[in-house]
This record gives sequence, structure tokens and C-alpha cells, in this order.
Amino acid sequence: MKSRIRHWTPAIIGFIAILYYAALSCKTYTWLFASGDSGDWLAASNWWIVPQPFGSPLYISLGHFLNLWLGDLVIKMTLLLSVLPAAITVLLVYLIVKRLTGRERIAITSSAVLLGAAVFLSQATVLEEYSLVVMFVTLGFYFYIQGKWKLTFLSLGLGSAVHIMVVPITALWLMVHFREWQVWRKALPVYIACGVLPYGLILWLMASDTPRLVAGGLSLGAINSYLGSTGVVGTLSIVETPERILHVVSFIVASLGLAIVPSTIGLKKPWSNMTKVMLATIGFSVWYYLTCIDPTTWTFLIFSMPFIAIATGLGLVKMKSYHTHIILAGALCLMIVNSIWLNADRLNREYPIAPKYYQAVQSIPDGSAVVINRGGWEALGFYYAMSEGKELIPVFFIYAENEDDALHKYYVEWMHKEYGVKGYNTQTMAQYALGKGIETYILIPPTLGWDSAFEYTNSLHRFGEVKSVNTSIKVHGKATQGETTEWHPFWQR
Amino acid sequence: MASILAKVRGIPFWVTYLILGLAIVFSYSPIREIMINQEGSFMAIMSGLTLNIILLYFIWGVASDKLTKGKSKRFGWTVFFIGLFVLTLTFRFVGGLETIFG
Repeated sequence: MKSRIRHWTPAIIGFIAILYYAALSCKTYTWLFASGDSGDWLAASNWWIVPQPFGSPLYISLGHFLNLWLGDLVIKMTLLLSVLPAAITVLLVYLIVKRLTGRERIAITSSAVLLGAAVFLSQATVLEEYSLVVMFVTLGFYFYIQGKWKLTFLSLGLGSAVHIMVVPITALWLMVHFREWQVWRKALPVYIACGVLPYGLILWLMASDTPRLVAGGLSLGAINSYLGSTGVVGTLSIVETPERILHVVSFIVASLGLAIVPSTIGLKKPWSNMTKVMLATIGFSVWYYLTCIDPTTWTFLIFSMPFIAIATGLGLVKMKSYHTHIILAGALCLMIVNSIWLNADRLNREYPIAPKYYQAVQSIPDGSAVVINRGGWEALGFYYAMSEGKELIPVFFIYAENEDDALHKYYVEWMHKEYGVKGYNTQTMAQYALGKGIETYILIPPTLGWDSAFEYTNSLHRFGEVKSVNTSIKVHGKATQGETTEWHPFWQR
Repeated sequence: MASILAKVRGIPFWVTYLILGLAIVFSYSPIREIMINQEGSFMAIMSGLTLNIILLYFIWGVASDKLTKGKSKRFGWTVFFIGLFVLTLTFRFVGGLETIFG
């Protein structure tokens, strides 16, 4: 009887994880848990457009595939591209720990630690790409411990095609195994085919006649501008260091709780190559958040979560059996607490910021021009509304120093061709639209200097109706060294 | 340092679990605030003098003993400054960021 139950254990763990995450998941458009990029993923799944850097070609392709079938795209993408991969990752952690330790109870405990981990749970329950990419990395590790390099590269390649972070993670794994290069080099073409070549889709989309929203138009200048717009790695000032260290520690403690004790024991010296691979992955994701100026990159800590859960299992083997009970009890407590306090479904009903913003965009009359940022959560939500059929003309805020930018030139070209709007910058295009009798709105309050370039009235929730434009004002936005960069939504500015 | 670590290692597990339990209570609320924040103001300061440079110093402190074994101190510092230069130039040109090199 016992052996029959054990036979079903993986299926039971996977089923519980699916139920748990599905129940907590947010079924409507949301910006919760730093998922404001979801607008971009939805727009890129509805339309073939260039999404935010570095493109995530596999993720948007899967979004397109799901869009072929009936049903709400938000629900489909959340359940199939976040909830399901997260549940599979929990299952993989069970299988990996079972394989490494041979102990059923410890494997269950490790998977429970991951299941209730706040950082992991948060990304499992909203529309984001992190669950999927972490599933591929964990799957890669599952094959790696079996010495199957081709399957390891296949998994890491698919992960790289979802999120660019897997490229440096793969490089770190290979650095650990540098001396065995003659073994893994034979499998390397698999990685290139699955992880590098898919990015050709983004180049193809740039070259194609697609809406030039985040980017569009293909040239070296355009590629440079597109990739350069995301360069925030390692830029956090040392002034911010103490607070960020506190945040990193808080995220790890609140996510993993008591499991930190066995996980540190599991990662103790002497280090095997497998432990080094785990340490490299954990260290890289912690380093990224620790030094990145973008405060929302706490989401990148998710890459470390399965590996810390596996280390927990490796540590528990070296400890007395009562520790397993304590850690399991702690993980179950966190699961219960998080199901109440980090319940995305409930939180989005309590704080419906994104749905309300989406409604505001929908309330703008069709055919209107809207002066809006080119990036950021508001813009991405705006693209989502456009991709759902809302007919609006996007006039982007372009700072004076960016008027010669290749992407901007391609965009100006597209505005003329697509909407007949002429102009070379924000004000001239807005003025042209007004002159043609097109109702023109502006995201309010406008940022850094734009306020003086537009005269508007507060006519619609979060959008003002533009009455006149001052084209003689040059608005500059370049931050100088040491200057504060503010990251907050427009209605707080 | 080693004696401090030995003392820390000597702490009974129940004390460690208790401390961690309390740490969860205190850290949960702040991280929840960060996680669910959709409208509060975020602020971070960008600068050429980044935490990475401090990390590089730390790594150098750990690694220099091994790397410079049997060599002059000048060799170690030369390697350090070349590393620093390469790192910041990478951020400057690949990341398009402002660093101590402009």
C-alpha cells in the first residue's frame, strides 16, 4: 500500500501545486508583484510586435499560440505560462532531491519549501515570464545531475529564448565545467539552436511592417538603441547599498524561513561541481538584484529559489530527522500565511490599479491621439488596449536629445504612414493632430518639463484633453551622474 | 573571525530557528509592501560609484592571496585596476551607462 502511495507522490505534489497556485492566481489584468510588463506580453501575443528588450521570443510565440484558442488571453497565459510551469518546477525539485538523497520525506519537504516561497509564489500567480524560464533552468539542472548534456543544453536554450538572464547562467555553469569542455562542446549546437537562433524572430519583427511601439525598424542604430534602453545592470549607487542589502535579506528570510538553516548546511564545503553550479546560479540572481538600480528586480531572485530548496534537501540529509519535520511545518505555515497575505486574486480586487487604468484608456474616444510615454507600465497597458482593438494614435514623449535616435526616426516614419500624422517630435506631432481636428489627450501629470509644453484640461480619469501645444520649448530628460532617477507611476509624479 | 564563527556554530538549532522565526515576522511586512506596491513611489540612485566596485574590492580581498602568491604586491594591484577598468568600461559602452570613466 505504502509503495503504491509513493508511486503516486510526484503526481500528488504536482496536482497540489497546480491547485494552490491556480487558486491564488490573478485572473484579470494586473500590475501586482511587479508584473506591469504583462501589458507588453499581452500586446505582443495579440499582435506581432517587438516587445521590450531583449524580446523573449519563445514567450511571445507561446502567447500567440494560446491566442489561437478560445478564452480570455489573460487567464490562459496566467494559468498555462505561469501557474503550470511553477507547479512543474515544484515537482522537479521533488524529483531532483529524491534522486540526490534517495529520501522521500526530505524530497517532499524541499518541494514544500519552494511551493510556499513568497518570491516564487508571487511570480507563479501573475502573468509574467519568470515561472516559465525558471522551470526550464530547473529542468536543465535535472538533466545536468544525470550527466545528459544535450538535454541540459536543450532546456537552458529554451530558457534563454524566454529570458536573456539564462545566457549568463549557462555561461556560469560552463565555467564550472570549463575543464570538461571537450564533453559539453559537442552538445553546444543544441543550445545555439534553441537559445540563440530564436532571437532572429525579434530582428525579423523589427524589419517587418509591424506597429512601431516599443521598437521597430531594423538597422544597427535601432538595435543599439533598443538594447541600450534596458542597461541598468550594476548601476545602483553605494548610497543605496545598506537598504538594498536589507531588502535582499528580507526577501530571502521571508521567502524561505527556517529552510535557510539546512540550505546553508547543504551548500557547505567541500564543493562538488554540482554545488558550484547551484552556488553560481544563486549568487548571480542575488548579485543582480543587489546591484541593479531598478527596485522591481527583486523578481530576479526567483532564479535562486529552486536551488535553495534543493540545497535544503541536501542539508536535511546531514541533519537529524526531526529537522525535516520542523522545516516541513515551517514551509506549511508560510504556504498558509502567503495564501492569505499574498493572494494575487484577492489583492487585485482590493487594489485594482491596473484594471482602473485600463478602463481609463478604454474611455478615450476612438480615433483620438494620446500623448504618452514610450515605455513603462502605463504605456504597456496602453499597447495592450490598442492590441485589443482600441483605435488610438500613440504620440510618444520624446526628449530633445533623442530626436536623432534611429528608433525615433523609424517611429516618426510609421506615424506618417499609418495615421497620416506629420511632425518630428512630440509637440509637432500633437500640434499636427490638433490642427487636423483629431481629439488629443495627454497622460497627466506629464513628467519632467512636458507640463510647460502642453495646455490641457482634466477631462478624463488620468488623461487630460490637450487644448494647445507650445512647439518652441525643448524638453530635455537626460539624467546626469549622481542624479536621482525616480521610478513611480505617473499619477504620483 | 574563526573563533566568532565557532561560537555561532555552537548555537543550538532551536535558538537559530527562533531567531529566524522572529526575522520572518519582521521582514514579512516590508517585503509584502514592496511586492504589492503599484502606486507608491520607488526611488533609486544611479551613480558611477556603484556597489559593484565595492563588491570587486571584496572579491579582490578574498582572491588576491591566491592570485599573488609568490608575486609582488604591485602585480596584484595592477590586475585589480585592469579589472576595475574593464568592468566600468563594459558598463559604460555595453550598458550605455555613466560610470567613473564618463
